[in-house]
Amino acid sequence: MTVDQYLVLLYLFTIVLRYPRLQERWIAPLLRGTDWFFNVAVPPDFIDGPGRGILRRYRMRLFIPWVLEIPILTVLVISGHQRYIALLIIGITLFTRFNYYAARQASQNMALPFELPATREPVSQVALSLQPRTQGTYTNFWVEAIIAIAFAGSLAWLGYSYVTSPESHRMTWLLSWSIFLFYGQVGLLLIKRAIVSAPTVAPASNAEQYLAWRESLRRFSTWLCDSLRVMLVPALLANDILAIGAPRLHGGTLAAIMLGLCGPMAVIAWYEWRRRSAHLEVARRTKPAKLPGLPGVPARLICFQPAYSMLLLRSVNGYALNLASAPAKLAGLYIAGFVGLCVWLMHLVA
Amino acid sequence: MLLTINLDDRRPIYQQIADGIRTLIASGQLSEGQALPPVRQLAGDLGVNLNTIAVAYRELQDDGLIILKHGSRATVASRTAGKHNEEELRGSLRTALTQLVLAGMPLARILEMVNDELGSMMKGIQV
Repeated sequence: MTVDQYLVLLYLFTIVLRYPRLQERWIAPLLRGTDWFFNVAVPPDFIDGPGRGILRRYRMRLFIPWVLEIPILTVLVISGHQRYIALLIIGITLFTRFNYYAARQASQNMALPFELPATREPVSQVALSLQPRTQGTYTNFWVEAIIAIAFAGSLAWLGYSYVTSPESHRMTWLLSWSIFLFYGQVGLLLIKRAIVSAPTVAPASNAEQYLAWRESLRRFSTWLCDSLRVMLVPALLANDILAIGAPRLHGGTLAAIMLGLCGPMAVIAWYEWRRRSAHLEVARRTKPAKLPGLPGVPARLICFQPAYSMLLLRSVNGYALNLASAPAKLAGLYIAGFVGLCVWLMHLVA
Repeated sequence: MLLTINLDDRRPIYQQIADGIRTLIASGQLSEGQALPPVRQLAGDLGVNLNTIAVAYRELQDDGLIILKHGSRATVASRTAGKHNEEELRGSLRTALTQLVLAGMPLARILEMVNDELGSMMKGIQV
């Protein structure tokens, strides 16, 4: 088995991993029964009437990433550029998430005219927890230690191999890929930071249950971030094995590498499925409430509000990403750095 | 423990935050040495300016109820604010009682309310 074939298999494996998330998004609008469409309280017959079309459009939109990725994947495989499949996986993962939020926002907006009058007005009394929330609360020392040691050791080893190996082109490729994974680690840490600091306010009438749901979501999301970071470790170690083993690598070694990569991923995926189910149960029990939006914040996914310093701003219909905030600017720099890194690495391995 | 903010309340947000934390300290729900959330967290949760929270914390510090140290978290100092003298406190009580009397409440009801409030405040702490 070649590295390219292994990447195709890795891609197929990620499709399996994506299935539970697709399933969750599929049922998300009616998670709390037919009385709710996402967070909008609707009449019970809504879903048999106007809601049917809105639901169908929402579910169709969930497949937009597939429509894009299948032709791209075909082109990559036919043209022999399978090595870019890893980039495709990252790009599609990000796009899928953004597409979900956009589809959710759009369908919620479409459902708003049918909202029950009793829930139209936002609550006037809100409650918030006085429990301090820091990165440390959501950090496991051992996970951080393993990731730090694995990355420091692996990058040092690859750097050494790069300097001493006569096969500079292959080593360049391996080292570039490791730098790329390291950059991914940094990105995931930034996302985790944003999750921890995401605003959490609850309706005063149902504060404890509502805050428990938000905490469950926060715990699950930060755990997911850490799991993805842990998953990058075997990918990094595979690079080390490739650096040691070449040019004597044969099918057996590559199969072992693949098993070493897919094994932890499968375990994490199974555990994720369990945690996701537990979180969805909490979400199902919690009635959403219309929280008051901040003045001037539009009911859109993205906004530009320099008056606020926060990344996520409460609007009348959920949250909007504030592009004027410092974390958003940092994310912009990160994305620019990502593009720059890709260009540089492509130039390096060309 | 939870802090409730009423957006229809005539009091400004910072005042509601300071009053809410005061009540939690008085009722023993916030105990001495307990850390309060960072200013950034509360401001983010409520969607208000950092200064709004900072003003509330400073007011509590001036009352001697919390300790603010640069670079570390705000912590609860003591359940009893030492700065006020009895006459000043009596004045605040008189104002509150005057409002109740002017609202036309019978004496028995006022006493019942005062007892209720004191009871819920003292619940769980030893006086």
